[in-house]
Amino acid sequence: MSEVTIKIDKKEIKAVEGESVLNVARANGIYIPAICFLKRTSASMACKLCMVEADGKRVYSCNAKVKEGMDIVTHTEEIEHDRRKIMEAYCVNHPLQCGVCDKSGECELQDNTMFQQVYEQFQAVQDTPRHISIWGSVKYDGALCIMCKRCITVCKEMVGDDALTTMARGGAEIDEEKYNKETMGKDPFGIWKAINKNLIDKKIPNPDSRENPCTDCGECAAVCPTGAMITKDFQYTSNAWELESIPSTCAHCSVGCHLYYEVKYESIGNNEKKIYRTKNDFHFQSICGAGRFGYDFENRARKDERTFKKAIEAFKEAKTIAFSSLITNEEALILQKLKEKYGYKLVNNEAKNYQNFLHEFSKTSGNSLYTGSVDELVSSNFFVSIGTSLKSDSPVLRYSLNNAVKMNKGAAIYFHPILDPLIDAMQKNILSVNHPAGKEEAVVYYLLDMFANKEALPQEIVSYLDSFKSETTETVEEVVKEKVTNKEGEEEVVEKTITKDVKKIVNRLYEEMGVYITDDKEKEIEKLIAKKDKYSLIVGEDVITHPRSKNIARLLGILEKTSLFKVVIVPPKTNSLGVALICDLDDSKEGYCVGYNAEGDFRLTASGATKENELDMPALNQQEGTFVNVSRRVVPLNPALDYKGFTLGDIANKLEIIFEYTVDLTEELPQEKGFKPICFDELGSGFEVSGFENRGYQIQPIETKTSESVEKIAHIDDIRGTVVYRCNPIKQFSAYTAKSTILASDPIPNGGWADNIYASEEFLVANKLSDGERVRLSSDGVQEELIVLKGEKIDGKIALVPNFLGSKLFSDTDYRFKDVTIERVDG
Amino acid sequence: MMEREGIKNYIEVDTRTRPVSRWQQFTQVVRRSVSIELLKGLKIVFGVWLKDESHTLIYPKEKLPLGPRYRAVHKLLRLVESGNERCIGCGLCEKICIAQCIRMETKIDEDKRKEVVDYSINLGRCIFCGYCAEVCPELAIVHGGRYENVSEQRAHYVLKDDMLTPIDLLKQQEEFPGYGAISPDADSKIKKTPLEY
Repeated sequence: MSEVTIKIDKKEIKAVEGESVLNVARANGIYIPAICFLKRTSASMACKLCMVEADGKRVYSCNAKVKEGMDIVTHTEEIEHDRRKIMEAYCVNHPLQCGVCDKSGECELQDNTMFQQVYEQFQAVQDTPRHISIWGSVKYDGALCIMCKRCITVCKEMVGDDALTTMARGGAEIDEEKYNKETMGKDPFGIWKAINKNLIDKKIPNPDSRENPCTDCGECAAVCPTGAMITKDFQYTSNAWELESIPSTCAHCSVGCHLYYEVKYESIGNNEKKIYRTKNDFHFQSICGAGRFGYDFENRARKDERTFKKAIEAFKEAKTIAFSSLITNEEALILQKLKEKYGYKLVNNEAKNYQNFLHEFSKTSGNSLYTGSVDELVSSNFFVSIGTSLKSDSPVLRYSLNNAVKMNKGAAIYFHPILDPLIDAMQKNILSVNHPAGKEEAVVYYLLDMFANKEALPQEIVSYLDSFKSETTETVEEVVKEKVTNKEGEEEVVEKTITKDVKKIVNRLYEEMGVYITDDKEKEIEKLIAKKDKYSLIVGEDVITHPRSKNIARLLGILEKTSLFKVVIVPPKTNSLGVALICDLDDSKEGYCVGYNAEGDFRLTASGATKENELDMPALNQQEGTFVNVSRRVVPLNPALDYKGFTLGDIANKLEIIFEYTVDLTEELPQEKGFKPICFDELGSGFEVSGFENRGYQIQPIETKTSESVEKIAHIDDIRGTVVYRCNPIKQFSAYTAKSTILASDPIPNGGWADNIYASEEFLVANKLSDGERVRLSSDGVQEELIVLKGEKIDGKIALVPNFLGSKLFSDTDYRFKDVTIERVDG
Repeated sequence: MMEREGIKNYIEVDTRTRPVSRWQQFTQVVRRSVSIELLKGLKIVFGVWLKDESHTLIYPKEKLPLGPRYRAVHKLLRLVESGNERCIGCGLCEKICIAQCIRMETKIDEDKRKEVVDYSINLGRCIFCGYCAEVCPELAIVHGGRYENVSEQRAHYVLKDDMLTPIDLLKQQEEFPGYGAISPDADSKIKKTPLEY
C-alpha cells in the first residue's frame, strides 16, 4: 500500500491508499458526522450523513477511498442543509421518551440532532406500532430504531453469527406527492423512505430447527446508536452520565480485551461502588458475552485478622504454593520472589504445560515467543486454526478471524475434530476440516508440506514428507469432441470416448490425518490459498495438551521459521502467558500446600471464602496490575471496585518482601523475558482515534538458538467410541464467570452450569439418552455424575464436558478428547 | 423598606428652647412632674391593643405568606388524575444539581416501565438553587414551602416517602406555579409539528 497525500478542509494529510476518507479524517481529528459507520466493517451507507465534496463531487466519505491529490471539503452549505434534513427525518415519529431511555446522554441520535440544530420538523407520516422483542440478553424496541443497520453489519462482519436481518415494517406509506426528492432533497428523502420501510429482525436460517446462530455477545446493543437495543441487565438501572468509566482489561480469557467497567454507588443507603455494566470501544474492540455480562464477580470480603494470621502461619509451614493462571503479573512476581526467598515449589500445571510448549517452540523457531498477535491476525488474509474450539475458547479471536476474512478478502482453514455450525456459517471462504481426535501432529506435518518453504526446511523433514507421496497412474475415461469431415465434405462434431493414463500423486499424509481429501477438496484448498500473502496460524489448547505436544511445538516452530505464518499460541487461561514468563514452575506438589485460587491445604480464594482455612483475596475486577494477553501485550488492569480485605501483597509484606503497592512491582517484571521497566501509571490504557492501541506495551520475542530436531508422526491410540471433549459452554471460562449472577440467569441454555454436559443430537441418539437425564461418565477409573443436556450449536457425535469449575474427569493438562463409558443413573 | 404609619422618614432637628437660668430649669422639672404626658404613651398602647392592629406575628401560630418562587424543602408531586408518580427517573435533576446532593435509584418494574425505587436529597449539601425543579421535564420535583426543619437527622426530611404527596392527600396537592412551571404564554412559543393523521 502506497502513501498518498490528500487535502481535507485545506489541511494536508498523509494517508495510506485504499483507506476510507472518513477513517482518514477521523484519525486526523477532523469531524465528519456519521451514524451508520463502524470503523472495522464495510460501509453500509445507511445514514449518508458522512457526505463530503471530493474534487467538487459529492461522495460518501465512509465508502470513498482516498486517492492521491484528493481535495475534500467536509462542510458546504448544501451538505449542511441535507444533513439537517436527514436528522429531521430521523426525528419524525421517534418517541419523545429520552427521559426514560437508557441511551439518553450517550445517544448518537441526540448528539447529531443537537449538532445539526434540528429544532423543527417539516415532514410527517402516520406512525405504526413496532415490535418489541427480546433476543437473548438484548431487548430490541423497534420504535426507537433508526435503521442504521449497524447491528446487522457488526453481527455479520465482526462477530460472524449473522443472526440479524431486516423485515418489512408495514404501516403507513409516505405521501410522495407532498414529500419527494424535490421537496426534501435526494439523500434525505432516500433516508426517510428507508427508515419507514424496514425493521430489524432475528434471522432464522432454518425454520425447522429453533436453533438460532446468536451467541448472545451483546455487540449489537453496544453498537446501537439509539436506545433501540439495550442489554437487559442494564435496562432502567442507571443513567449514562452517572456512571464512572474505568478502562481495564477483561479477566475471563487470554485475549485480554480492552473494556470499561462502569461503576456507580450501589444505592442511596449504600455508598459502596457497584459495576452497572461494561462497555467496549466498538470501533476498535469487540468483546464477547462473557466480558459484557460476566462482570459481577467481585469479592466483597472484609479484613479478617484471624484468618490472615492463619494464612501467615500456613505460608510459614508450606512447602508448595499451587495457583491458577487467573492472577496478575505482579502477583506472579510476588510468588516467584517468595519462591526465591523461601524455596517454595510453585505449582501451576496448566501454565507449566504452556511454558513447556513455548520452550519447545522456541527451540526450533529461533524466537523466545511466537510472533503473531491479534493485530497481525486482523491484517492477514489467510488463516489456519488448529486445535481450538474458537467459539468457546476465545470468541474474540473468532470475531477477528471472521472480520479479517471478510474485510481482507481472505480465506481460512479450520482444523478441528468437532464440526462447528457457527464456523461453517461464518464466511464462504472458511473451510472446516474435521480430522479425528489426536491427529494434530499429522495436521501440522500437512501444514509444513503445504506452506513451508521447502528449501529452508531441514532435509529430513522434506524427505519424510516426500515419503508419503507416491505416484500412481490412473486410467481415466474422457469424452472428447472432435471435428471430423464427413463423406459430404461437411465438418461435423463427433463425441468420442478415449481412455487416458493420468499420473497422480497420492499423499498418504491424508491417511495419517484421518481425513479423506478428494481432488475437489484439494482444488478448493488451492483456490483458498491463491493470491494470499499474509498468513496467520491460531494454535489452541488441544495441541498444547496433546500427548505429542513436545514434537508438535517443535514442528510449529519450524513452520513459523520457514513459512509466512505468524503463529499465535493461545494461552489456555487468562494470564497463562504472563505466569509462564515470570514464574519458575515446578512439576508436582510436595508437603503442605497453600493454594491460590487452586486446591491446597490452606486456600487463598478470590471467589469468596466459605471454610475455616480459606482467606479472601480480591477478584480480578478489584485488582491493580497487568496481564500478558494473547497478543504478547502487557495490558493494565485497573480496579473497578474497592477491595477491603487482605491481598497477596499484605502476606508478602509480612513474609519480609517489602513494597508499598502491588503495582510497584510492574517495573520489576523480568526484563530478560522481554518486559520493560515501565511503571504502572505510565502504561496507556486505550485506543487512539486512529485505532492505534496504546494499551501497555508489546513484549518482543527474543532471539534464541535453534538446535533441536523433530520426530516423525507417532502413533497414539485412536480416540474412538464415546468421545467427549473438554470445552466450556459459550460465555463460561472460570470460577469468575460461574460466579456472575447475570450469566447464571442466561436465557440461552448453553450459558450453563458446571454439572451439565452438553451433547449433540447425534450423541444422544447413539447413546440412547434423552435431554435432562443423569449420567455417569467414567474413564480410567475416574467417575463423575452429570446431567446430560442437548446443547446448541454442536454438530457430530460429541458431548462437551465443561471444566470452568474444575472437572473430576479432566484436569487442566489432560488432552481435551477422551474416550469414556457413559451410563444412565437411575433415580 | 416599608414605611409604617406614624413614623417619619427623616431626622427631626431639635428647635426647642432650652432652659437657661436656674429658675427656668426649676419650673421645667415641676411642669413635667405633674403633667400627664406619662399616660399618653400608655394610651397609644391600649388603643392599638383594643383595636387589634398589632404588627407583630405571633410565630409559630402565625406565619408570613410565601411567594410562589420561594425555595424551601422539595416536594415530589403526583399526577392529579391518576395518582401516579410524576417522576420518570430521567435523572436530569441529578445531572444538573451543582451541589451533587440528589441521588435516585431506578429499576424496571412489573409493567416493564422505569420505576423510581428511591429518591433522596442531602439537605446538608443542598443550596436550594432550584435548578432541579427548573430542569424537571415532568414538573415532578418542585420546591415546597416547608422551611421549618427540626429533627435529629437531616435525612429525615428528604427520602422519597417524605417528599411524595401522600396518596390520600392527593386532592390537596396544588399545581406548582414556581420554578420550572409552564409560563402563561407557553402555547405561543411552541413550534407545531405537522401530523398526517
